[in-house]
This record gives sequence, C-alpha cells and structure tokens, in this order.
Amino acid sequence: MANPTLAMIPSGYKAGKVYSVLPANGDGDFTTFTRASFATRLNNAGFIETVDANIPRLDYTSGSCPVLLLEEQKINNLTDSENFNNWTKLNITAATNTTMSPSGDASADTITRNSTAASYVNKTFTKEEEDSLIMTLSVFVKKNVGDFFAIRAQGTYPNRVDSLFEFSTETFTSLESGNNFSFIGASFKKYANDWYRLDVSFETDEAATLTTLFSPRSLTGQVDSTDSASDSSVFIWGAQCENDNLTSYIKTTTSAQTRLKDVCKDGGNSVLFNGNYQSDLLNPLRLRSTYFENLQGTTDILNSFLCDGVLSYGSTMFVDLQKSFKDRTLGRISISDSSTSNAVVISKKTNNSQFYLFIARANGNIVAEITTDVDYDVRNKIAISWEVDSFKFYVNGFLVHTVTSGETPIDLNAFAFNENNQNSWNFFGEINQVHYYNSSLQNLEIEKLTSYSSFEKMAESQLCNVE
Amino acid sequence: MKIGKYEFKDKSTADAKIKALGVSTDEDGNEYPTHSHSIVKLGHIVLEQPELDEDGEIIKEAVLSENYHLDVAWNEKEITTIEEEAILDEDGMVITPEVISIDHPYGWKSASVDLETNGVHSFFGIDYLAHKI
Repeated sequence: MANPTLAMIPSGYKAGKVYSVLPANGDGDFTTFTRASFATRLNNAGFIETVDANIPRLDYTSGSCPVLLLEEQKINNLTDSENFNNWTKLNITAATNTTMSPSGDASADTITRNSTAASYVNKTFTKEEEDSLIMTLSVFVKKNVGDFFAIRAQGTYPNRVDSLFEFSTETFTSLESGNNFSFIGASFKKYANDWYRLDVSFETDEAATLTTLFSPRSLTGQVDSTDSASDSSVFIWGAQCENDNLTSYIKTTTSAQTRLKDVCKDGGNSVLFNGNYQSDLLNPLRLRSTYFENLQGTTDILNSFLCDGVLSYGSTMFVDLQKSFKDRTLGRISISDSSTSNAVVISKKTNNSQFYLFIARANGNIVAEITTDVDYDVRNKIAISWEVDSFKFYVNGFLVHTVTSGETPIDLNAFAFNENNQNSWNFFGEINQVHYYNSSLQNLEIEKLTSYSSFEKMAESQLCNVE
Repeated sequence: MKIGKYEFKDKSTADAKIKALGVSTDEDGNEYPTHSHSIVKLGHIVLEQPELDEDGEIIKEAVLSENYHLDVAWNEKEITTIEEEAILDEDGMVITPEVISIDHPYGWKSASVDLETNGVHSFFGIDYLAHKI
C-alpha cells in the first residue's frame, strides 16, 4: 500500500493551523483555520471545555480518537444555560452550583419539584421568524431522585411536543399535541460521571415564540402531570435550543450566544499536488497532458516508462468522515487550483442525503461526476482517483462510478474544507482523516482504504448492533 | 471583526437589506450569501417573559419588541474603504500611511442601535462593546 503524500489525521494544532502528519516537513499542513468566536469541545479527559477563537477543535465525543470538528454558525437561544435559578419556576426550586457539571467544575444545578401537577422550569424566546422551523432542544441531566425527566417544547398552546426520558432503561417516550407541531426524533449521549445529554428535535408551529420546559419526575407523565413524590429532583446543566440539528454546546449567561462557523483550508501546496512531490519536470501528468499531448509517439514512450514503474502518475483523494452535518447549504471538500477551473470535489447536497462527487478541469468543465446516496449520520469513507482517461469514485469500499476518457485537472494547490479554497460552501462535519496520494491507487488498495477491517467495525460505523 | 446591532420595522425589510449584501444561487437552486459577514436573526425579541398556568397555557402573553432585530459580525475587510492611498518612497517604505474608514454598508446605518451592554445577544466570547462598529 502506497504511503499518502499528505495525511491529516487530527492530532496537532495551534491557533489558526491544523497540522498534517505527512509530509513531515509541514508542506501538507492546513495553514488557515478560522472561527471568529469561542466554541466548546469534549476534551480527552472527557470534559466539555471552552476554546478561544481560531483554535481548531479536536473533539473526543466519538471515542478515544479525536475528530476535527467543523461546525456551522449556530445560536443558543436559551439564556442562563447553566443557571436555572434565573429561569421562570413553577412549584419547583433551583439550587445553583450544587454538583460537578460535564465541564468538570461545580456549575451544575439541582432542580427539585413537588407533587403538584405543574412543576417545572421554563424559558421563552423569540424564533428568528414566525414560521415553521426545525429546531433541537437539548440539556445535560444526571439522575438524582426519581427515574424520569420530562421535556416540553411548545409554540401556541396546546401545540407542543412532550418527551419523557427514563434513566434506568435509557429510553424516550414522546408525543405530539395540538396542531402543526411535530416530533422528529429524540436521542441521548452519555458523558462522564453519569451525565446524559438529551436532545429532542421537532418542527414548530408558526408562533413567534417557543417555550421550553423541564421537570424531574418519579412517575411517568409530562411536565404538568402530578407526581408520586414531593421531592423528585435532577442535576441539570447546559440547556440549548438551536435551529436544525444538534451541535456542540454553547454557553449562555444573560444573553443568547452565537458560535461562528469553522473554516479550514490551505492544506498542502502546488508542489505537493502536482507530481511526485519532486519537481515539475518529473511530473508525469504535466508531461503527458501538457507537453507531449500532441506529439505522436512520445506518449507511447512515456507510457512504457509508466508501465515499467519508472514513473507513476495519477492521484487519489481520500476522506474519512465520522459524521456529515445536515445543514441548509452545500458543503464541499476539495483539492483545487484555488479557483473553480480545476478541482476534485466531494460535495454535500442540500437534500442532506446525497454526495455529489466530481472532477473539473479547464474552466470548470466536468470531466467525471456521480451523485450517490449516503447517510450523513454515520461514518463515510470516500475516495476519488484520477489519471488521464481513468477516473474512479469509491464510497465505503465500493467502486460506484468509472469514467474512461478525459484529461486530468492541473495546477492543483490546496486541500480545503470548502468549495475551492476560497470562502464559500464550507463543509461541516466530524473529520477522522483526509489523505492525498500522488498516484492513482489500485482498486484493491482503495477498496481496502475505504472499507473496514471487519464486519463488526462496518456495522458499528453504520450504527448497527451485531448480536 | 466589527459588530453591529440593528432593528428594522419588519422581517421583510431586514431580509431585503441582507439580500442586498450579495446572494447567488447554488446548483440545487438555493440562494446562498456571497459575502462573508455573519448575520444572526433575532426577530421580535422578548422584552418580558410570558406567564403560564399550571397546564402550560399562556395566561399573559410575552411582550415582544415591535421591531425586527439583527446582530451582525461584519468582516472588516468587506466594509473598509481606502480614503487615501499610502504614499511610499522609492524603496517602498511608507511615508504616509493609507487612510481608511470603516462604516456600515449602504442602508444599514439608519437601522443601527447603539447599546452600552451586550444586549439580548452576543457572539460567543466576543465583547460587543470592544468590537462595536
């Protein structure tokens, strides 16, 4: 198996930069990383920590191997996300800073209800528009007294979604009430010290505001049902309500807070992407497609060198995505000439269920392309190999498309998590690794690269249980 | 980065101002911004929280602002105008530095509001007062 010319496996970073493992001289580093605001990540100790602006986030939520976390701009609409004493309270008390939170400090609160029907903390905010919006409500909770935690998201009463989480079975029960307010899904993620991050997604009605309500319980029921105990309580921290899908936690105090988008680009350089990382003279792609294209016989001579292994040519791009975030815009990963003229691109579609893979050459003319169905919520491994008259696209171990004629893109100079190393169509997701090879790998090599070492690992990556 | 806070009479007026900053259409037919400013739509912000009864029904409506609010983190490069070019000597050394001005894009200044606090919204970790346009 050939070694990659460029390999970025999230491990080293500093402000404004993500280091690549290969090449060792730093030529493959992503030298531009920007995010104008603070953000949070799960660090390797298992705690949620806030990082400064322009610091890349290596996030350990998916396990012991970190991912490079690239997220879009998001607002947490819930103020006082860690101070529930400042929420509106009904038949419930909130004691502040009573226990260690998922951030590792004593910032989590305890909320304790009585047995009265309606016992909850609640907070109302204005939506960005009086329209039906997909939103996600999340909160960190830890069991104390009682086995249940009730969550409600409500538009114009009685339009709402109620979800009840049962700690002992780790299951959700959800229901819709009223009109035009629909449940989409509920899930949880476990954190250190028995904390859970619960999230409920829903499509709102067209009310101007949204009200969120939380209540601990000893019985099944909703936030406004009577309870068997008069002291049901839960440890609580980090409430968040955001548009679209769940993203990393955004701390708020007296005002709503917006985390700005991550931008990562300028990986590699023109020497690295154009030939054998030696000199332009020895770049077979250039020799063949630029200098000898029209000289009869010369191509045959060059081919004989290529067949003998004196020269190799072609290139391969490989990306390993732990997750691709569903958002409202296109998102691209590219190796390009920093324009739209020459590029090899993996593009998320706005339908959030497909990738459009393509190669463009000379003024953006498409040489090869394929649109393929993918599940954004699971791990996806994608490779594109290109050489003159041979373009291949692989997804999760399978060759999905081949084109057998055409010239290759030239003057490539940057790997980027956006359209063409400029500022548009940033890719948002969790990145396990990206590679570039200065040869078009053999089919078996790419199948191995984009596949899994065992059936179990493949099943795990697709979030399936093997029994 | 410069931060501005704005209030418009309604959402459609705000949307028109945002669109005037530059949009294009992607291959799926969706509009996307061609500028690199970060815009947060706050809508008609809550001035007073509503009161709910025991069933969660609203017995006193929330008091909302009449105006539609936006916060914008402006990309400084895109709102900077060079008023006078720098004057250089024969060796390229600056004799007189360029004169620049930073201002709200056309049509935004009249909608700007000047707060002495961060208000109801801020950009995570960025102080509005220190970055106020």
